[in-house]
Amino acid sequence: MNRIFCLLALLCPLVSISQITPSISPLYGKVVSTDNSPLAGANLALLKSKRRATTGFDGNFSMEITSLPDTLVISHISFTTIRIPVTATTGNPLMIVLELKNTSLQDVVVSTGYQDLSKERATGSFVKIDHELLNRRVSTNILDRLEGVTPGLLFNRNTIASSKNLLDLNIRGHSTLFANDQPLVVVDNFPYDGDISNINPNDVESITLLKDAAAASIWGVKAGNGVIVITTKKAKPNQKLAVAFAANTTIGEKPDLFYSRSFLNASDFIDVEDSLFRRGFYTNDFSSVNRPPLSPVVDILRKKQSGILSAAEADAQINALRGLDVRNDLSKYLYRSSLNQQYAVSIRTGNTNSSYYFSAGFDKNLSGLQGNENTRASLSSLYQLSVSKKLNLSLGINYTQSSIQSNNPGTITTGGPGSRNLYPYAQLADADGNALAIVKDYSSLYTDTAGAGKLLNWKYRPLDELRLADNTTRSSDVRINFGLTYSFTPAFSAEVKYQYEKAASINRNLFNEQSYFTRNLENMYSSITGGVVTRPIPLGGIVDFANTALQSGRVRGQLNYATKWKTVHQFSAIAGTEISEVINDRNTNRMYGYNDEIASNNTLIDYATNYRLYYNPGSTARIPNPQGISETTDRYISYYANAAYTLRALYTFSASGRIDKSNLFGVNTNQKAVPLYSAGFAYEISKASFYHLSWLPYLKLRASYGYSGNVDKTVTGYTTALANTLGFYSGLPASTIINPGNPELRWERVRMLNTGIDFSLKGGWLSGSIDYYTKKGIDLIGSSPIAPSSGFSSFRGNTANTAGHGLDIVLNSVNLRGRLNWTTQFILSQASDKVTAYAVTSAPVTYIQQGYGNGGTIFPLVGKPLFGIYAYNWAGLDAATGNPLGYLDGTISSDYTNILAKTTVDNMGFFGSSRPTVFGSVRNSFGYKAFSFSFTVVYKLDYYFRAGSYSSASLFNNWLGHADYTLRWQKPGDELLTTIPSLQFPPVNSNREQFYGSSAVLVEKGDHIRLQDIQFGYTHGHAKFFGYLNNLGLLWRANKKGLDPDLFTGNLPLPITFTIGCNLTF
Amino acid sequence: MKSIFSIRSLFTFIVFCICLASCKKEEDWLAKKPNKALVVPVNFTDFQSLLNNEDLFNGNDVSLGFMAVEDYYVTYPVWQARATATERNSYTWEQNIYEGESVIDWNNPYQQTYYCNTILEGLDKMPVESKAAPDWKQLQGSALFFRAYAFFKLAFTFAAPYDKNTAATDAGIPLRLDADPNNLQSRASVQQTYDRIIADLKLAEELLPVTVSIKTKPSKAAARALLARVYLSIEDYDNALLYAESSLLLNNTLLDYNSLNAAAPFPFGLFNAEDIFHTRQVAYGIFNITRAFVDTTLYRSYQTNDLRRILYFSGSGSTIAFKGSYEGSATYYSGPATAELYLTRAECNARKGNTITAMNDLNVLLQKRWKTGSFVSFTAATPADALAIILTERRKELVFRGTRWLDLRRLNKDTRFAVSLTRILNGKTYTLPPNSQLYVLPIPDNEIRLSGIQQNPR
Repeated sequence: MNRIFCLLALLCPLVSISQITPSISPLYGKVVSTDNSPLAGANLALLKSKRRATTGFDGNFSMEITSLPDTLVISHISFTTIRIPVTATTGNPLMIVLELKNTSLQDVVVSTGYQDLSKERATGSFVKIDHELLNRRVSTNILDRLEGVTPGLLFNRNTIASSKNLLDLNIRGHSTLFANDQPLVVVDNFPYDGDISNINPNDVESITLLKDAAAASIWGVKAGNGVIVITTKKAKPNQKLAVAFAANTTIGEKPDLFYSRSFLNASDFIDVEDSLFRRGFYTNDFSSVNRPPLSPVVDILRKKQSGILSAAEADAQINALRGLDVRNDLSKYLYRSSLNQQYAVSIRTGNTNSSYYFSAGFDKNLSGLQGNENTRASLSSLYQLSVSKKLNLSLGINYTQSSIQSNNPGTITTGGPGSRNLYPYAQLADADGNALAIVKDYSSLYTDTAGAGKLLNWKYRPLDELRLADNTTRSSDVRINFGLTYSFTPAFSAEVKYQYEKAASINRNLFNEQSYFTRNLENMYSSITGGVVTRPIPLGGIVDFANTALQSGRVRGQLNYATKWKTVHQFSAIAGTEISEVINDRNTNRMYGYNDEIASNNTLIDYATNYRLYYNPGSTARIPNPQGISETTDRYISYYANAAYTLRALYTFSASGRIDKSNLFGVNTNQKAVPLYSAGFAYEISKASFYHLSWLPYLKLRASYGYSGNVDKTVTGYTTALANTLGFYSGLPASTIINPGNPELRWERVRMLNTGIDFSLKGGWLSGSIDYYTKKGIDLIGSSPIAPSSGFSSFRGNTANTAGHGLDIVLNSVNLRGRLNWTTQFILSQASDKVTAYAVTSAPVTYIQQGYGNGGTIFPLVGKPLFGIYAYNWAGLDAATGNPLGYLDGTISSDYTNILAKTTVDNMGFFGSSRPTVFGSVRNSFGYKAFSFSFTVVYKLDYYFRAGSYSSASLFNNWLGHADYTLRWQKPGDELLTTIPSLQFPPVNSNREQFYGSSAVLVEKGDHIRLQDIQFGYTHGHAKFFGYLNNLGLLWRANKKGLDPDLFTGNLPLPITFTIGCNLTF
Repeated sequence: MKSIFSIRSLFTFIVFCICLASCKKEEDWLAKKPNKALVVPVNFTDFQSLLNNEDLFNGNDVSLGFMAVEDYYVTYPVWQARATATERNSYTWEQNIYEGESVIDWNNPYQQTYYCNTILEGLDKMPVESKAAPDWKQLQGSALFFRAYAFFKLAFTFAAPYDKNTAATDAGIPLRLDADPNNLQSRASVQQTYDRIIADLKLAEELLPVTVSIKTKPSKAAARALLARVYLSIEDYDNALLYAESSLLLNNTLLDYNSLNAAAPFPFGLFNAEDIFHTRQVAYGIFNITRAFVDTTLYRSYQTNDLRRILYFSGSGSTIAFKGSYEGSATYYSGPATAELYLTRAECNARKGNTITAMNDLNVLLQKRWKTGSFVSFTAATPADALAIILTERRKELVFRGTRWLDLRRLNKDTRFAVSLTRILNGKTYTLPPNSQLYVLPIPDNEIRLSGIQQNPR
């Protein structure tokens, strides 16, 4: 920061001195926009003379010039920067015309992956995110940068997929039930088959979203969820050598473990255990053959009961635990501040007949979890050559190598029946930081003595596990592009494009011989007879491998035709064919008795024998053998064509069609192919002769209609068995018939009608676009019931339909022009969907418990949103018992068995969608001289989520606490203050638990507004310095429980991150 | 110009290649399997691989009948909180039991039937020379065996008990004999149902080999044992005797219970010598060994020196748990074993008046069940006495096997052996009188809705 102030201090006197000593006559003139209106607030800079000026409200400027020749740079926050050479002959006054920047819809080139289109003549719904906007945000994954800046694109943050750090995006809602629901990602010309995180964001020039049929249907059966086209940077012919360097560092706060309400303080937890103990709740566990884990408090109580500990000693030991909070230890030993570094360098150069782009990038991310980090190195090059005027070649090679270490799962659980949670008073380390043991799969009293010293140590020390973990995934991805274009005439050309991609990843997870995983398996299968230990699993480490390999080849031949005649007609068309093949291989393997020092293993493993388990000789198990192998192949042959005709730059008509054929197994060949088409119309009414609205100089109307598709390859035409299992007894390879043959299978289709307007007010004060669309999912693959005497209870076929509609609004306003610029972008998207045809109605409990998509699966219910939130109706708490009350046949009841059994699909409570149906952002950008500042507020509205609460059964059996426990009903009268039911002592009525957990009282409105990020920058010459704050937190939320609704249950809020960086260009 | 021409020809060539790929070879190229593990079953390996799905064929034998018998009881809290609607209602013999739940006991046998029909149709399409192969015979026999077994399970659960006077008109089960899921079948008569079961089993018996690699595969002995069980259930005692006899010719081994370790959590080994064909019952939660307690009267009927008292059961007082499954684990074996055939042969002989032969079989069996030296042979003065003793011992030997349901449906018709079952829950007593319509379980609700077949009167 100091340096910036120094520079400022230096600049100011320079300006004032120059005014005193003019040496050459001053330069003056006017800056206007393309519609000839004066532009205020344009910045002018003379590079050699080192003079700056800003236009006034009349657009006029005047500045001193000290050396000639010089270069004048004219920039404006909403207009494209231009450079003008200034020589001795440059005459005054200068008239400078600036063009609006591409965010304001004019003369933007969008790419569909098959062709570049002028947005002016486009009929479809495109969104283009340019380089500048992409670089406003800092991320390792390029697609993350679309969040909050892209109308119609929803980042799902509250889904199971997003909780696993997978991208979960929806463009204009959901239009499939069980098939792939993610948009197609295209890089330059071809779909990207590998992991999108292999793309170095610094290589990306722009991203275009294809949202409607006219834009996307050229991608046929893959376009049903929308298309994201990433365009990478290229060099131009005759380009001077340009070198760009980017570096930034991001520091993230430690994740806030104390956010989660799913935690009960140690003291209350101990009280619960104490009262359960007195009720004999653990007695079964004491004698259970499975030696289930018992918490330290229960162990102490047991010792107290049997007289090993005196009452005073026991109470003292227990009271010492009351003040502990395991989250302190977890935070201290498992978490840290994250640190991400990103570096990139690129070179562009070109001469008369060739151009070359080269870049290298390096990322190193230390995650917020200790022991987890990843690195990525990428190289990218593109060489373009004009062999002759007619023949152009291009060759691109991209290579990415990455390494991911995942040694820290972030959580620690106890094992045992129902996967018991970690007790709140667990201690991970002693005062000196030495690792301490916690209870794991068996009771401590058992592991203290089991095997009488003959077995391996059976204790579990989480911090030692963290230290011993060695779980690394290394991957590489190479992508080679070759292109050849030949122009027969200026209007007619042909091209061939080819892409080969090969990606491989190797995951190696080594469980050291000292790790608990290894010791536990060893001991489980060991037996001791006559003092001799037999170990079917040989001593040594265990190493797991999971390898995946992807290989894809895509080739395309395409004819292009574009012509203009009689100045008023403009016609362009493309037609082509494309063949692709993607092969995915996967295999997993395990080695026992592994010695990492000499990379050798023991191969004499008996996987067939059922061994008696040491801790419970009544049960037997085979030695786990996670070997597996699979190979899938996707093949497509596609034919496509697209044409557009523009008359007098006023009307544009467009049409496209595509046929896809694929190796959809066993389907009648003629049904493998389905034509998907679209038609579009655009009318730039502001160019019509009758149009005279001078305040609205730009107005364009658009409409499009058409189909795109989707494919679910899990269904087949033949009666197909899947060799996916082993005989339960014999262990022989066994098959399951996965579907009776259905030769009538068809592609899923998505029909979309889109109407929109683009407009710009005089002077560009306000511009934007509004799109309204309706969409229908047709012939969606869904289940329909079939008489079970057929051998099946449901039949998968093209039986379901969905419908949706929505609105995308983008408004750009220039609020202030002058020395201080202020612009605002407002984005609002609305997207709603519902099921219109589905043949199966599940039991109400299914919708209530899973309808909102928490498991990642859709449970379609006709007339309702795809992810509906349903609940049992709530009638408060019983004043006498604190029992939750519901409705049975319309009357208030606590007959939970019958409430659960008799609630129907028609009378269960329905709230709305669990996915935001209205969402968007507001971004304000300010510019003052060389400084810029912007911040984004995002909002997600009109949706619901289920807040968790405590459950007696989970607390007792799974040690899963919840802060609600402390707020529960405890005495008559509390029902007026709380909605949290009383504690149930065993035997717990599980129907009561289920009723409350799925009741309406726990459904909350998800609406919220968040301050997403703040960016500030300073440009000096070739350098831009910036700072960036992300995930700043909620400004407002509808729920009163302090919950962030945009999180999957159990996830922690994304920590605030701070980035500093600089970009240099020479 | 020349170079341009050659580039033009290159283009022509490339476009030609693409066209070629897209026309002639296109279909072949697109015939590639999307997932290598997908199999269209056509050959012996594919068919065997379907039958190797032991989870389907051996692991989920129907047990709604067992659920309703008096071998076990559960406490009121378990019944109230742990059980599904089907479990709760079956336990107390309600008229409507499923409340919309899907019924694995119905679905599973029909799924087996679909697999078997797929195999049978596939085998039928094979060339003549293949049909002579031993593999073909074994697969054909196995598929017929499994389908007949599936039909039999459905018949004794969802169709009326066999009565030769009304069998031609009583509703049996839909007999699905092809692999077309859309070929709906209405209910055949009980007579047609058993005719089909017996005919298929007899065919299977001829085709199946004497020895099989694992007891989950049907063998000749298994087909005979199953025929004996089927004939017994329809009170055709001559044929039951014939097939029990012929099965025992192939395997008559009996375990000596004295050689077993009663202290073990599960004293019996999987695939032990008595096991002829291995199946186990659906593991419904309500009769999990931790919740289902053995009927105390039944438990007390085992005398002190009867080793079954300690090999079959653990626990004490009113909480006796069953541990005697031939599965060697907490799930209940339900296949035919040699001991069942001894009892069947004994019963048939008793019914024919061959008292001595009958008692001899019973004593040979019990000799192996009692502590060495403690067993005093049973004697009977009359065939009727013999029958009564044999049926009592049958009940004690075949506990938790699922056969009690069959026996109740058959024996209740005989006033000498008819019993009324009772359950007491939370002070309320439920009763199942002999020959009640409740001995025929309702067809699942979704089957009625989707195929329109006739429901059973309850």
